[in-house]
Amino acid sequence: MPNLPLSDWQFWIVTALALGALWILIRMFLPKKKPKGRRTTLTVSAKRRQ
Amino acid sequence: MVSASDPTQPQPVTIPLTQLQRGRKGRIALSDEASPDSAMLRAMGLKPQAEVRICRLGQPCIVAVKNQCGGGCRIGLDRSIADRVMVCPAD
Amino acid sequence: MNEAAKPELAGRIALLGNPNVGKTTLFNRLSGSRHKTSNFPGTTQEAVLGRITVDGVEHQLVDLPGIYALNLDSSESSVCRAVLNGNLAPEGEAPAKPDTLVVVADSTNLLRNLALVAEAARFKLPTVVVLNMVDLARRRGIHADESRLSEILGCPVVAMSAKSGENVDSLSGAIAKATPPTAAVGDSEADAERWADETYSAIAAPAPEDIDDDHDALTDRLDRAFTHPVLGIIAFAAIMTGLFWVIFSLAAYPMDWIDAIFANLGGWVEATLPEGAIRDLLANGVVAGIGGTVIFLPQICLLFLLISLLESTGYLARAAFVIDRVMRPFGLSGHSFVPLLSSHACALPGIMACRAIPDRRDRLATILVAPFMSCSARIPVYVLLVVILFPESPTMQAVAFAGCYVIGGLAGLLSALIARRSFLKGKSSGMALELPSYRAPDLVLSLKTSAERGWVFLKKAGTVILAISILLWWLGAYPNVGPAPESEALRTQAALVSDSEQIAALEAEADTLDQRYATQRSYLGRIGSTIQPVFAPLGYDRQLTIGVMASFAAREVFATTMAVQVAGTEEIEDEGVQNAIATAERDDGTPVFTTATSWSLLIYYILAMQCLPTLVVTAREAGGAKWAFLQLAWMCGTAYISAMIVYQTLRATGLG
Repeated sequence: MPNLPLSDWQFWIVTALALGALWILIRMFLPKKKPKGRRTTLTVSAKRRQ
Repeated sequence: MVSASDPTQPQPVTIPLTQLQRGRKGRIALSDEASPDSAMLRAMGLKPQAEVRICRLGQPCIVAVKNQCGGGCRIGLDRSIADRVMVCPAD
Repeated sequence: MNEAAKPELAGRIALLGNPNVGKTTLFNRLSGSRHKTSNFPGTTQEAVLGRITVDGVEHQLVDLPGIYALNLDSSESSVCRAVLNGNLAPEGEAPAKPDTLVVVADSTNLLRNLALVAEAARFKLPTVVVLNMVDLARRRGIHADESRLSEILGCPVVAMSAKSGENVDSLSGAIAKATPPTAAVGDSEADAERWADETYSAIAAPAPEDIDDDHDALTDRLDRAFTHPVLGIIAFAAIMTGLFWVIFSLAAYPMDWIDAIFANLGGWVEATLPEGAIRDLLANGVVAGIGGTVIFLPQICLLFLLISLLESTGYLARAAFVIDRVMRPFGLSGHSFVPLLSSHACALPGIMACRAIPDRRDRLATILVAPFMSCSARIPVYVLLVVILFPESPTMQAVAFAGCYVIGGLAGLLSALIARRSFLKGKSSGMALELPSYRAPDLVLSLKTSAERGWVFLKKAGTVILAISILLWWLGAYPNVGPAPESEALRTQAALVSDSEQIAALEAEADTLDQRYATQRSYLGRIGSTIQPVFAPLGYDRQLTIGVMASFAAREVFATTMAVQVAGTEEIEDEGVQNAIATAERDDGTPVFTTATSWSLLIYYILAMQCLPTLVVTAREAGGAKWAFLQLAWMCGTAYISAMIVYQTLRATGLG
């Protein structure tokens, strides 16, 4: 890539940070992985009563 | 609409809350309505035989629920809801 | 985690009770500052976790949502049932039946509270009943025999006042002696009511008929005044105006300090670290990013403090009915009031406050339109633009500024109406709200609430804004370009001149040109040039396009972005810089901020969705990314079209 200071070590550090920031942002919009652990008997709109 | 246990007694007159005048008292009557609203209202304090006093008519309708030994609570109702609450006027 | 509690916590104690009984006040007294707010997974209910020491051992304290009865269909009721059955626990905790149940009752409204006690007794958990607000009851002449209640129930009963602290110490002793209630409370709703009636008669001291008359008479008058169709609105408008006035004036002080602190921090970083990309990133990306978030904390905390104070007086419940009348035609209800009001500080906590809205479609509609309410971040942009539009007239500036809020509010209400008539069709049921007694505002509780909300804002908005700031910095810093072609000539000129003032002026101009050139050629600048044609119908050039895009990180960034592009510096407080922005030129020499463009920009910022943190929270609270996309598309769509209409009309009629 033209004009990117590839030899500058600081460039790599800030680029890594920028990529990390990008990852944080992307992760927020990924579908949430539900921990497939407990199923509760809680129902909110269905009429099941305890 | 009160489920009278003694059929020889005359049925007490019940009217909607909104027809009671301001300052007057009444007792909530048991209603056949089983709407989701009515369970909530009952839980809030508007249960059968509860004594209520009209504090404000109109929109909103404000009633004070009175406990016989002092205390109670106050509930504000949208007029459409107050129309469906039946009371026996007390005097 | 497989155990029921963390290793160092001996057990779980749940707090149950009606709304407005002082459960939260009691919780705060017991747990102090050691508490954590999270979620009950799978629901929209907040879970508050704390600690309490009983017999020298620490237990976990869980504050359950306030409910009127355990058998209702509402979300709050279901959550309480599930927790008491051992099927639900706050996020991160293992579900298990509580080891002790503390039912908090209001001594001034015993009859209704006893029904909940009856329902709670059916769970046969070791129970303690708290008769709270005993000081209020005493003052009103209401007396209840707690030892008699304890006999009837078969478990400890403690009378106390959580607000004043009276007798709160005896609670932990009572918890240690908690046993499952032995009272025969039956199975049905009617059984619970009957038991409550009988028990109430047994424990409540008979009182004269007129016992409550004074209290009632005053409350009546206040209620009628506050809900009066005319007087109520006037009172409401006055209180709201006062609220906003206090927020704007008081918050200015801490905001200035924060500004100064972060400016100094940036300067310190610049002076201390060796030159290079890392120093630039820290000074201009990180410090600016964090500072840009923290600076809104005063307004947000102050707004929540005032709302909480108002709520604790009991006024807000009455105001809800007043505002309900206004909201109904738009398909919303009085429940939407506090969330929409909060959104004027920041939509993030406002949208989270929508959890309290009972009707699902109401809640969705409110979440979707909350960002239309003009938030604090828009203020710097509004101020910049109204000053450019009305440089000579502070009155017109104030009018335009207030107008921005009005337009935002109207746009929100109209959008809600459209939503409720189309994909969120359905009548919302009327409000039934308990009106708590009028009381003196609770400062301690309000301070705690305000701090809590502020912290949530910092964590959620902070991470996103920081991440975007870093990204934007990188896109604006690379690729490296040499000096601007014109600046070379200027520097050569400076070398030939001997007057030091002239040298300084030439050098400064050369620096500015270099900055502008660098920004133009950076990735950010190139993206701006590419996108600019999209905004051409709105009257924006490349520089404005970059400003608008950068605002997606944080709206307030618009001013600094313009400053950097135009004047090569971020010092927007400097009059010279403000002047430079106002008179900035496009690449073709014409002014950037023509009247038409300025109005177009103002409209755009009022209506557009430019806040990634808000989108994230919308997706979460509304239950799906599709709602966030809808919000984005609708708001940006209306913003774009409105701004375009304004710009083209002003141009066509020669007014801009």
